[in-house]
Amino acid sequence: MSSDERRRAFLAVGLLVTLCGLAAWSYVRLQVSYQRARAAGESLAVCEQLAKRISQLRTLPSQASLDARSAAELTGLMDNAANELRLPPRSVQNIDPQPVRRLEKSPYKVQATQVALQDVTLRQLVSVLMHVTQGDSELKVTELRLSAPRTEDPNDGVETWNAEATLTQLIFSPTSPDARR
Amino acid sequence: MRHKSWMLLEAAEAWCAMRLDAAPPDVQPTGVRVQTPPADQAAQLAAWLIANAYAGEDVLLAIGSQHCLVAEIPLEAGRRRPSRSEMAYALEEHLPLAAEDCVAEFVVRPATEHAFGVAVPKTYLAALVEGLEDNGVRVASVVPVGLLRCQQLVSEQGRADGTVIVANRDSLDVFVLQEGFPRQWQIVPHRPRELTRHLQWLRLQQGEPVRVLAVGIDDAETAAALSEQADVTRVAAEAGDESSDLVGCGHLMAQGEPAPWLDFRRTALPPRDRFRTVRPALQFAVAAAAVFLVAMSASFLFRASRFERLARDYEDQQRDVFRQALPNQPVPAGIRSRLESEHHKLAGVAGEQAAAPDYLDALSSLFDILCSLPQAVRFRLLEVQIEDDGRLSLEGEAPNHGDAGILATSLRQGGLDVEQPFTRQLRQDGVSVNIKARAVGSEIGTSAASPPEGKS
Repeated sequence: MSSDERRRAFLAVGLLVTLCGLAAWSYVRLQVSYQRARAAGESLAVCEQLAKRISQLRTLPSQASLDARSAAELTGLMDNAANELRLPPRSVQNIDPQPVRRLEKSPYKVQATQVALQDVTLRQLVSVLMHVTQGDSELKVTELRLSAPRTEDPNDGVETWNAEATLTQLIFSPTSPDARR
Repeated sequence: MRHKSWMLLEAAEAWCAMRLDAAPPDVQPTGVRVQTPPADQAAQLAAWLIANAYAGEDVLLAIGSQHCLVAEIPLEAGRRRPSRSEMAYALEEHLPLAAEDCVAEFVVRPATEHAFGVAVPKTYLAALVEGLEDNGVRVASVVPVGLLRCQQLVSEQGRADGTVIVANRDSLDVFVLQEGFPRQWQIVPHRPRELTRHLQWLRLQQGEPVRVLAVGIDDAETAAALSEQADVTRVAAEAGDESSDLVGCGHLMAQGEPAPWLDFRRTALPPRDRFRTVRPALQFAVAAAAVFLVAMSASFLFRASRFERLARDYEDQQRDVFRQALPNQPVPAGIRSRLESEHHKLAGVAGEQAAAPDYLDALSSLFDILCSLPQAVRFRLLEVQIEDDGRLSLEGEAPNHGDAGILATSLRQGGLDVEQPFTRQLRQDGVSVNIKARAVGSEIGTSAASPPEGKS
C-alpha cells in the first residue's frame, strides 16, 4: 500500500469514525429530547389533573384550618354570641382551651375547647353553638352533655339545662415537606 | 479477479509494454534499459506508463529469464506438503544465494515427489516491484517471461510431456515438461553447437529420443542444427518473431485462465495492500456507510428537534394551566411540584387526606335525637350525652315500661342505632329509662330548621 493509499485509508477510517461519533451523539440527543418531551407530556397531564382537583377542592367546605385559633379569639367569639343572643348573665360558666395535640401518624392536629353553659334553654344552647361554628366550618361541636339539674321558671314555663360542649378545631399541619407529597 | 490491462516485458536490452485490452494488442518499446538499477527502471517504467494513459489498472510484470535460478527439490512421499518457507530452505541448497536473499516460488506437480523451484534475487525483484508500487503502478503478477511463453505454447499445442525450446535473441530457454508442468529449465546460448550439445545431453539423461517443440527459432543455422538431431521429432516451423509470441502470452494472462504456473506475487512477494482486489468494493462500502451515517444522523437530529419543540409546547401549556389554577401567584420553575403542594394543602384543609379524622357533629346528633322523640308519649329527659365517636346516652323517666320501649323505637325509627332500653321501676310512679345508641352520622342543617324546646 503506497503512502498515498495509506493516507486515503486513514482518512476513510477517520471519516467513518467521525460519522459514527456524530450518529451516536445525535442518537443520544434524540433520546434526551424524547425523554424530555415524554416527561413534559406526563407532567402536563398531571398538572391539568391537579388544576382540576384544585378548583374542585376550592368549592368544598374546609374541614381544617392551617393555623390554630387562639384562646382569646375563641373566648371573644363566645362572648359575642352570648351578647347577640342575649343570654342571661353568667350563663357561660367557663371556656377551657386544651393544648393542641397531634393526631397519631397524621398531618392533622386538634385543639379542643371545653365550654360550660348553665341555665340555658335548648334553643339558646343550639343557637350559641351554631353561632360559634356557623361561620367557621373548621370548628365542630364534637361532644355535648345536657344534664340536670334543671330549673323551671314558674313565670314562663321554660325549662333550662346545664350544658358542657367540646368545640374541636382541626388543624392541617404536615410534619415535614415530604409529608406534603 | 481483476484482469490485467498492461504487461511489462523485460526484453534483451530494454523493457517493452503492451496494453492487453487494446485491439489489436501492440508491443511498444519503452526505452527503459534493463542495465539501469532496478529502482530507476521502476521509476522510468511508471513514468512511461502514466505518459501512455495508465489509469491504475493491474499490470503483469514479465521478468527476463536471466534473473531466474532454478532447481528441482524432492518431496517426501506420503508426508504432508511442506510449507513454502520449508521448500525455500530446501531450494537454498541448490542455489548460490541464501534463502533470505531471494524470492522463491514453486510449481508442485500433483501426485509427484518433486517441486520445481524458481528463485530471483530479492535485491532485484523487490526493488523493481516496490519501486513500481511506490510510483502508483499496481503490479498484479510477476512471471518469468520464458516460463510464460512456454506455458502459452504448451496451452496452444496441447503438449503435456517433452522438451520445449523458447528462443530469445541471445539465448534459448529449454524446458523439460512432465504431465503438463515444467520439471527442468536451462538457458542455453543461442548457438547451434551449444543447442546440439544440450539436446544430446537431454537424450542421454532421458534415455529416449527427445521430442522438441520449439518457438522463435528464426535463424537457419540453429533450425538446421535442431533438424539434424535424429531424436528431435518436431519443430514449430511457424514460429515467428518474439513480439507476436508475446501478444499471445498477453492474451493468455489477460484472460486469467489458465492461471500462470508460477507467480511471485502470490506468496513470495505479496502485495503490500492485501485489500487491493476488493478496494473498489471497500470504497463503495465506505461511501455507502458514510451516506447512511449522515442520513441517520440527520434523521436523529430532525426528530430530536421535533421532540424539543413538543417539550417546549408542553411546558408552555403547563404554565398556562398554572396561571389558570393559581392566577395570583408567579409561575415557579417547578410547576408540577408547586401544584402538587397546593393540591395537598387544599385536600388537607378540605379533610380529604386519608388520615383526616371523621368527627361526628354533636349538634347534628342532638337534632336527630330531638326530631325522633315521640309526640304521643309523656317522658322526661334528665341527661343527654353525645360523644365524639357517635355514642349517645339518654337518661330520663317514663310513665311505664311500655312507653320507655316506644321511646326507644321512636329513636330507632329516627335513624339512630339504638340498643334495648334499660328501665327500672321508681318508688313513685313511673320508670327510669336508660337508652344507649349510636349515631349513624349526619350533618348539621339536614334536620329540622329549628330545634324544638324541651319536651316533657
